[in-house]
Amino acid sequence: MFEPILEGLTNALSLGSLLANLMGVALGIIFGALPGLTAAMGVALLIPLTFGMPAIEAFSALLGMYCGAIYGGCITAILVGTPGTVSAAATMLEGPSLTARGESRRALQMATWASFIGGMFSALVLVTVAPLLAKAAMSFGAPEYFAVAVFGLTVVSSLSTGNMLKGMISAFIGLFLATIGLDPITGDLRNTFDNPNLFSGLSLVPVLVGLFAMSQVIVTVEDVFRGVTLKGGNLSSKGLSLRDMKDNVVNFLRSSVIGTLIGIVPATGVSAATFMAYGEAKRFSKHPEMFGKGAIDGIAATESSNNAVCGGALIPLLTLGVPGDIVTAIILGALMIQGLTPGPLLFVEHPVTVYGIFAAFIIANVLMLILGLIAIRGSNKIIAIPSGVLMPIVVTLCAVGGYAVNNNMFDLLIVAIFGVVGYLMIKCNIPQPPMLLAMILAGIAETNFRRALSISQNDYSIFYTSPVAMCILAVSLFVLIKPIYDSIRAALRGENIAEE
Amino acid sequence: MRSCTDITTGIILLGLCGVGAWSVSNIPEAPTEGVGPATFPTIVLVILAALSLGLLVRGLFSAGRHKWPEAAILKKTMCFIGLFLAYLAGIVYLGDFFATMENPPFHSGMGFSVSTVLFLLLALPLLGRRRPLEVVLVACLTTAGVVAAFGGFFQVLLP
Repeated sequence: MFEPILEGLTNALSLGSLLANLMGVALGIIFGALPGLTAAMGVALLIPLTFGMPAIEAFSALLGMYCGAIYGGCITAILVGTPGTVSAAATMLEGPSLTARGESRRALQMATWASFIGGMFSALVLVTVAPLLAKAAMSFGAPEYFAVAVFGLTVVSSLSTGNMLKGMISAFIGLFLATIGLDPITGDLRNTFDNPNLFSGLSLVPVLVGLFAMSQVIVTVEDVFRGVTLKGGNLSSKGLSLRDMKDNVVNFLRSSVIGTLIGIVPATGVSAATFMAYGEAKRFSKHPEMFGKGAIDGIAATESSNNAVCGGALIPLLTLGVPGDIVTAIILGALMIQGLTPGPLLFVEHPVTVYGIFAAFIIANVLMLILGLIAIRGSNKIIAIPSGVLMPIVVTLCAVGGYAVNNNMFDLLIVAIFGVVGYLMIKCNIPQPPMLLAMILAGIAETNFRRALSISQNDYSIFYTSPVAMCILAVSLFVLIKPIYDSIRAALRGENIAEE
Repeated sequence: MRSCTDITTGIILLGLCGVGAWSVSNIPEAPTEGVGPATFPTIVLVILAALSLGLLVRGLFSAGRHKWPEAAILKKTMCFIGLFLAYLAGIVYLGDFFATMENPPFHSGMGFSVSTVLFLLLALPLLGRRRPLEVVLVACLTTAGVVAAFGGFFQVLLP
């Protein structure tokens, strides 16, 4: 039993993995700190670099990028009042006030330690809960897997931006795009328009690069044209005290629990965790009146919860193959590119890789603490890099990243199409994550749907005679109906108020 | 009160559903009665068409939310998108051009390098970088860095 754990740990501690992890964390902090560069973009651009590496080295880089980017968002939120990533939006409630009071270094150091504690707590939960959940999921058959895929899709569609109709449209476009290529059961060609480049389906990396990196570049370019620029904030000399840490022990723990739990629920989102942890910190604080005016407890809560989401989100990804958020959806694509199928069988067939991933995640958090504390000194210079220079450079990385996986010119066309489509989706307020998730989950959904019907000889009752499948499908239905019910209720209430 | 963006999106999606339906009609039928290769895409298309119709109808009766930039910004953004598309086309065509040369200056990466330098030389001034030395330095150093990292270190056969 301990052999794969030791082997995984040894692989994660090898020089190659450590360097990959270090590179991932360093790039992640930069991607997180600079508005316009996102964690999803960073991971999407890193995949082409890592696909030739051994699995644990590749995941060291990707998880390093993930942890670093979620942490890095706090730098801009604290220094200049602009969140580097969505995950740092709640940090903005306290960060700028602390900077204005001359306590920016204290705030940044608290954010770094809080991120480390949140990340390590979620790593602990990941290591203990994931194998147990995987064991429980071992009994899953075709109907249960189909139900899990449906659950992942409904949750993402309904919660991604609060616009369920557009979320579902995005998911169904993704499901249709996933049918391009060979039929997974009969091997018939489907929806290829006789184009040989489409016979093996749409390659995931160029789609990712176009949808999440290129589209974001175009959106940021708009800000450059508007003349939006960031000036490096002032870094104070007053640092964090041991008292600050002692006062926040319970706050760290509570926020880490919130972050991890929210991370486990697919698609609930990092910002939900941070705002909830912030609210709870305020509720339990001895000085709630200080919140909003520069309370260090607020930073401790938001930053420990957002990094705790990372470990939580990896649990459904590794055990069920359902990503907890958009970055883990991209990491799911990376797992598949490495020839690994996430789910309970991953723990049986590739235990060394799984424990290597766990170890890499813990190492990423340690490196994030070290690099984070070092980066604070130069943080005001990092955020002063002009987007006008950065964005064209990112475009070249998108081009080479989209091409590098298959060395295929057709993939450049895919990057172009999905880059423009992704931009139009942002403008039309259609969320992109459901499309990607649908493209990934479609294979699991369709194969298990057809396998279940084949087992039951086309008897659809197989989906509701399995108690687990029925429960999961019932929760999916609830997730779909709840927002509709809420909006009808809100509309009726609005009418009543108008009548009064 | 209507949302032109939602209406247009709904119409385009319905059109794409039509194209998809034509494509699905060409998929071979299931050999036996039951679920075949066309079943799943058909279900997906029917639901997608219904959702698109829903978006179209909603667009007719509500203002909706969209984030289109002002005309001047949109014009510049379109220029940038055009430049990006030209860059990708440049990689493909210049890559082919150098690949068919009898004595190419380098074994690989020539098309990519030339296209990247040209793209950066044009994109940086478009994004407000006016100092010629900065533009030339960023263009050359970025290209050299990307080619060294991908072509050299990661052994990618650049076009």
